[in-house]
Amino acid sequence: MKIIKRNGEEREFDVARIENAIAKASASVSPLDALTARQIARCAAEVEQECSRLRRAVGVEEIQDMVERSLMRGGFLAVAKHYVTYRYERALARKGNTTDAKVMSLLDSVNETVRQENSNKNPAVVSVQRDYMAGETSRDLTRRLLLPEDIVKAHDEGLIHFHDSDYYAQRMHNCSLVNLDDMLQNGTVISGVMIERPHSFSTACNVATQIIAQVASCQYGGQTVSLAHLAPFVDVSRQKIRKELEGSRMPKAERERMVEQRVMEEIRRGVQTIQYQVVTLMTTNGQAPFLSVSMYLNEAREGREREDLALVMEEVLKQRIQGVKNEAGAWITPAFPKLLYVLQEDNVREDGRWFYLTRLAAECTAKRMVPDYISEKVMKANKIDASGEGRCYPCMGCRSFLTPYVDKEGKPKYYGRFNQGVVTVNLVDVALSADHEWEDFWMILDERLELCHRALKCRHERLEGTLSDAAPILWRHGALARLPRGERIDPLLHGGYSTLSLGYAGLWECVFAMTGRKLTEPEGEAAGLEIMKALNSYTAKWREAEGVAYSLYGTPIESTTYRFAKCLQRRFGIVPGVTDKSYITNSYHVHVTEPVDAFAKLALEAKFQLLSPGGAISYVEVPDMKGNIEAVLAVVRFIYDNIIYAELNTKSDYCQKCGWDGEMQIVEQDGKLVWKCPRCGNTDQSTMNVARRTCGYIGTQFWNQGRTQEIRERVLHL
Amino acid sequence: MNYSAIKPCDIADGTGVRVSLFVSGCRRHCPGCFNSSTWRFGAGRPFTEGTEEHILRLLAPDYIRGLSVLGGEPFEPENRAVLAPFLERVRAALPSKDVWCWTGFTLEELDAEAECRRMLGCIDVLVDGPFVQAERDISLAWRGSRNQRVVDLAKRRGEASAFGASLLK
Repeated sequence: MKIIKRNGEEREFDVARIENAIAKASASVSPLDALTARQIARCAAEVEQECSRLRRAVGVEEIQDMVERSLMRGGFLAVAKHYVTYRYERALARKGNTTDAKVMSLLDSVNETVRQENSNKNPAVVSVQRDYMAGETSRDLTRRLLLPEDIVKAHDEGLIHFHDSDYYAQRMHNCSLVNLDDMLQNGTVISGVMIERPHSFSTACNVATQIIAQVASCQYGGQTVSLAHLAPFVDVSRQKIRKELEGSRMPKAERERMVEQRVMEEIRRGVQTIQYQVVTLMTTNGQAPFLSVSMYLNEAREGREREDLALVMEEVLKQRIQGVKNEAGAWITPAFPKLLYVLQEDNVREDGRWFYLTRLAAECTAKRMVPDYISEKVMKANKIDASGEGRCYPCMGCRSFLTPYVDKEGKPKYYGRFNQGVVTVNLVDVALSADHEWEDFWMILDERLELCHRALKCRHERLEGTLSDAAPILWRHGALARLPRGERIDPLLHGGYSTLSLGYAGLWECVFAMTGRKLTEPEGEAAGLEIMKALNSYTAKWREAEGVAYSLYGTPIESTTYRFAKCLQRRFGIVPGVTDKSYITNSYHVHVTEPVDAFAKLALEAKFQLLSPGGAISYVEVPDMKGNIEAVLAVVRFIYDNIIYAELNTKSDYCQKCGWDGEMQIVEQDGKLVWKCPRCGNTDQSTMNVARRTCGYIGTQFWNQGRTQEIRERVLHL
Repeated sequence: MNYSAIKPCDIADGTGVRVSLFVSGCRRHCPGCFNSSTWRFGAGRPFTEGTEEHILRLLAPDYIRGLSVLGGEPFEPENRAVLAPFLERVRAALPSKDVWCWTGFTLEELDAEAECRRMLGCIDVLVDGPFVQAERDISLAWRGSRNQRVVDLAKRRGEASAFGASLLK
């Protein structure tokens, strides 16, 4: 007969252990109330019988319940009472404070995991440390009190990943599309102060950055704002300037020229405000706001407003190409805001009205790694809402996409919506557990997804009952809603208004483990697509049953990629082509070491992206392309025709010693990987700037050796 | 003629995304050459009818802007005998694609030979002149040393510039 220990381990039933426990409790009461050795043996035997009747392995907690009942039945009330108290105290001790060591190591800056966890947070800075301390407390509460034990266990074993447990204790959601339009046009309230509709473009930009900062402190994921929501304020400025100049005796044509000149100055000032504020702000999450700025011409009304939006977009791109100055005064690539450029029919071909903007965007991508590109054409063909219309809209921050939705009046609604959170399934573990047997694969997948489902429900239920006062900027003053004071946000969590994401990781290794084929081979591709379809059938089933918008999401697993890889090696050892790297592949991506050209990769991955409706991004890794903008444009046009959302990992480096702005090399020096300028041979990291995208984020600090090796191993797709 | 390599998606040799053909054989032997393994005429594989078909197929997609011919030396007599008809075939079959070519000869030297002129008639951009190590500069576009030139042959023929409106600013 087996029992199951608290940590999940199985062990042979041993009646002596039960006798021991009873004897201990008995010894600490007065001899009058104590049990004799025979009485102890009888109690223990009763428990043993009860266990064997169950015909299954019994949990420790269950056995202790049986002991209690047996003591009561025998009339040994004093001993029973003592036994209960002892159990309670032990339970408390188990739930006791386990965060001390973690917090202390944080404060002493020796916690290596934390140091590598987020490339946008610097754990040496005190304000970041405060965020991390709060994070540790939240993680601890989440593990011990808030989540069911089996979910915590599945997370620890790397079967699933319960994301963002450092924010889970509080009632916070993931990411959002901020309804800047409503907030600017109808006014808002920031920290109790009323902010009315701005009277100029630069004020609108200023207010926007205040909103962005507030929103970033009330959620843990990224946010996206649209330049189209700022564009109407260009004409507000224009009218104001025109009025000011009305009295002057200048000829009309000259006056108009002057008006436009001052409008341009106004745009420059406003755009600069956003760029500098966003990179210099630090939110209560200990980092700059994870902000994406959407540039979508068709989002603005045709005519004046769209032309003004084009002016603003041009200025944003020009300022980004210039970059921002670092501590030493060198122009470098800022990590934020991320730029999202929407490709549409009249900006992709040379004869298109707005093609000059796309060319400028391509130059900017070559120099600064952004913008990323969204295809209006492919998106509208695939994101069909209840009214049968195709829709195009940006992702929220990094790569989460909302699902199509229409409000009660049947109008499409995107800005003001959000994602509740993510739980990711490790597909590689499912495959290795199934050991080439498809029947087992689907059965194990079913179990793992049920775990994910329950974990997602925990996220959802944690948010239920949140009052609008918890984050006034979000729920009361327009960023996501205009609820009255003291109102629950629950209606926003149901009916598809916000989404709940089932993430997946390691499709490449999963398919290889099951079929011995790569995703780039026909058989591998077919298996991969079948798995993706199965995952979608689960989210559809849950959506149907609960009326909550579950959707499938290609998670950007930054540090989780290493955690999963470690867990897999522990559970299955080194399996060639599956667990032989220190990382696993994100979402449906083709493996970084697989030789494939950019166009073949995007065409293949586009099929998988369509099956990732909760969001995903494809990328191509390319060398320095500043000297060949035509080639960037060839990729951009291919994106427009083939895939919803993609980015180019270009190289954006700078040697402060010789001014080289081509690609820095990684070379081996005394058994260590170091960065080296190919022109002057400089290897001093403090006098060079290197920016690389790692798992979707632009990092500008230098990386650990493992990551540097991964960067070096990347195959170029052009 | 033999060829050493075909790159189906090359962005380092000419504007846009290109198909690059590296032919074998060069008698010049510039010190510091980036591709000395292609000096031998017997290097690589024979360039056959099948190779031609393969290159035409690679050139077909919209995202491929054109063909780049490098070496080796495309203008060695053995090579131009094969390349002249092949380039004519490419132009006839795919008139929207452009052709770039790298040579160690100067344009003036090539202009003097009839068979070379036949090839030049198919080329839009010629990067000419030997590689001179003393003139090496890694920040130059499309060429290795400062003495080399990027010549817009299309423009010379009176056609639209091979660089389009705003390239090579």
